[in-house]
Amino acid sequence: MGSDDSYARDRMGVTRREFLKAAGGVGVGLAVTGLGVPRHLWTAAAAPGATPRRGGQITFGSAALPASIEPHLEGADIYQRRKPLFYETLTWVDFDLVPRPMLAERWEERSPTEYIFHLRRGVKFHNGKEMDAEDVKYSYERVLDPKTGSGGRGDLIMIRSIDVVDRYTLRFTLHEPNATFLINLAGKYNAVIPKDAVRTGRELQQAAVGTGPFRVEGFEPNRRLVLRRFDDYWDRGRPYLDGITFQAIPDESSLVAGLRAGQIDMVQFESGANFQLVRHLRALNNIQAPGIRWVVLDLAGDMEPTKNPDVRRAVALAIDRDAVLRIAGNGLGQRLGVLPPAMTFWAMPVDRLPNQKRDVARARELLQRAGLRPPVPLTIRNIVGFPSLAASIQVIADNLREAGFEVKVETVDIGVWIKDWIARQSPSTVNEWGGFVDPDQAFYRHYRQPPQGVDFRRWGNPEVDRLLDEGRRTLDRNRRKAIYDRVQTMLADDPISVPLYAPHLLYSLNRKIQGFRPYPTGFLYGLRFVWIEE
Amino acid sequence: MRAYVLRRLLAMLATLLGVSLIVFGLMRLIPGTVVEQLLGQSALITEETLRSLRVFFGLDRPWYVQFGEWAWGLLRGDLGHSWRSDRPVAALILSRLPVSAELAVLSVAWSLIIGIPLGIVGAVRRGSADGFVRIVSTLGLSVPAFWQGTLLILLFSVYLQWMPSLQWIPFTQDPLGNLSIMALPALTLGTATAAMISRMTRSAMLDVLGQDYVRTARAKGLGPQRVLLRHALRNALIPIITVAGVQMGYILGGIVVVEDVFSLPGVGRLLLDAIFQRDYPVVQGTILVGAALFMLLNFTVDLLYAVIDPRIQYQ
Repeated sequence: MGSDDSYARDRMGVTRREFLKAAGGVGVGLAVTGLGVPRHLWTAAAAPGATPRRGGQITFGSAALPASIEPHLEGADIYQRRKPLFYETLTWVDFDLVPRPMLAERWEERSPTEYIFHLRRGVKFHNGKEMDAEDVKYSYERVLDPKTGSGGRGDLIMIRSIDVVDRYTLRFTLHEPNATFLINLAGKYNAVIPKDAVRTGRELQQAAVGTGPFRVEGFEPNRRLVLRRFDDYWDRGRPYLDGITFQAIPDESSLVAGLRAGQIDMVQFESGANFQLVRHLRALNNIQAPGIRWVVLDLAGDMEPTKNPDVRRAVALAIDRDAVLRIAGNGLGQRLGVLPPAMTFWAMPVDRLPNQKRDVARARELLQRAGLRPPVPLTIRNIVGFPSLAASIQVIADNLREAGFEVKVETVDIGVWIKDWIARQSPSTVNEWGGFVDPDQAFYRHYRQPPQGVDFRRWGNPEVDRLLDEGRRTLDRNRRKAIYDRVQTMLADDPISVPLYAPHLLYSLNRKIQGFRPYPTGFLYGLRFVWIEE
Repeated sequence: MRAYVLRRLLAMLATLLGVSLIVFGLMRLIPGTVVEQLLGQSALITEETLRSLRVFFGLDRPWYVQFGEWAWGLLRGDLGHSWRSDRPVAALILSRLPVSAELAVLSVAWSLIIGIPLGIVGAVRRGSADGFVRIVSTLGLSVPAFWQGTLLILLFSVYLQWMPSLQWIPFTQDPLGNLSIMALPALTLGTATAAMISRMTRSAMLDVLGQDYVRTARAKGLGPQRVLLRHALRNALIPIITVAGVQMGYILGGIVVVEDVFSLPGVGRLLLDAIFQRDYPVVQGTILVGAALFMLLNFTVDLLYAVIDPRIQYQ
């Protein structure tokens, strides 16, 4: 463990073969759902054997840009995607979702609870200061400090202490063995910053002092983020681009027009509908890649009628998930059982899990067994601002009606929803989840009973709790796989969450942009390796 | 006159105080705070985290302390700092104001240029021209701005592919580029006002054209143009200006919608983003400045009456 080879391998750029391998999951997924996609849509990242060239800038159009670039507080994925371009962490999780060295050159596992990290030497911050062990200790302790209020604290809670051994060496001691420790170090809430960067706690909201390949040259909240190549970047020769400008264009149809007119070089689409408008344009590279997000109907485990497991099964059986993917997801995604297929090693295939195929008769039977007579009232919440979720609800409501439910749709603002979740009052909701690269991250907070799990479904199963604790403590990957297979089976058997589909990552880029590789969580690591071929 | 101005200014101050209280209260009535927005929905949210962030944003203190602090800042001319970006609210508004001000001015200009002639034509040429004017103005009034904007984008950007720049360009830097960005939004925002003004002009002109002094002017042998513009229009202007003034309020509200549809980085967009993110200081500051602007506009319109019609005097 802890070798540097993957980072070196990535330096060569992505070959077509490698990309095909990465995109292979799409092919399989599409074969299952029977949806054909022309090959050019998910290949063509770079010509084989092409050599990266330095120079040039690109404009990236985004539907939403953050109000603040504070590295340890900002939470939403849609705002965080650009962060790996200017902030870095001790480890990173590579394109195959395996933890690799980043600011740490290597690490030693002295025992299951003791890790020694050897830092890369000569790493400079954007302010010119050299990074050392004190900065790393300070940064992770800042996330861990309850006073900071970071949402990432829970990811690091297994850390008992961080000690500086010498200028370039640190010791992390854990409370108990934890399989996701190295992955969590790379989590989205973390970033190594200089020890003296924070005085009032507010300065990082608009200025970034990271070690990343780009530095923030200009930032206008919600409007524009201008990145310039960091000339002192530790990985010599990288990045290739001189700069990237992220421009907020809230209306996605304007993004489409901008791409066609050449005003924007690259877009990551949130909605399949708009991607459909550009996907056949040969002047652009249109990339679909499997993503680790999933659209899901989360049920309320302590509310009528979904507190009854039979009703939950009836809901799962009533929904035609292929139709939801086809209609709400524009067919641009993958069917999933519990975990999205992009989590290649962990996800169990749909056909090995119970309650996956639509069976209205069986759903009606289950309602009867639960002592309910149709129409059974069921409230489903829709969070405003997510078009694909709203479209999913239409299909679901229709499906559920056939099985004997009377669906009432309630549309709320996300602030209302989060507030109700914290107050433990949220009803069943259509949601979009993701960004987790390990099943522990995906399951523990959501399905482990309190006090460790803080969830809005309010569901519990002692056996699942036991398995989740075991999965967290077990370090052997194959043994963990067996544990999480069992968890997935149990979650499918008692579907407190009904996963509907995993939307693809959708990118459109000008053909001159070479070497882009989609990162499974949708974060923009791929822009580190991009160059321009005029 | 001076007493009147003073009275009006005092009334405006009182209104602003009321507005600030209402905005402050309303923001706190919307469920969810900046804290939940910041954490996002995949965070591991614990009571401890929530408490720390509430302290960070000062939300742990009683509302009257928060209001008092904000009001004290206002009195000293300080609108406070954005919670999310830590920028001064006044600077944020000032940086966005040119966009919105230009949009407002252009749309008012558009509505006057179109509305007044249309109204005059409708009043003078009864018959088919009048029917046309009435249909156009009814349409203009009933089509909502967001829909009209979307249709214009579809027509010009998507089908005809006449793409304006997606990046905002100041007028001083590139007038033509700037106007190409502003044309559609100003058109969208000005249409309803133009329709309103044309209707108002038409009925006011009809009213005035039947008056004795117009007949006298005609009898004196004045040319029709002179009668129409010097004698009739000038007297018809009072209700038109009133309507135009009231429509300013509509335009201030419409700016929010139109800036959203056309992705313009103006004050309206700033306000929307701030509401979504529950950035209270920015919402409060923006609405307060908007309210002040609206009142000043109304006040100016009232003063204009006296300029146009010497019979009107304020005491």
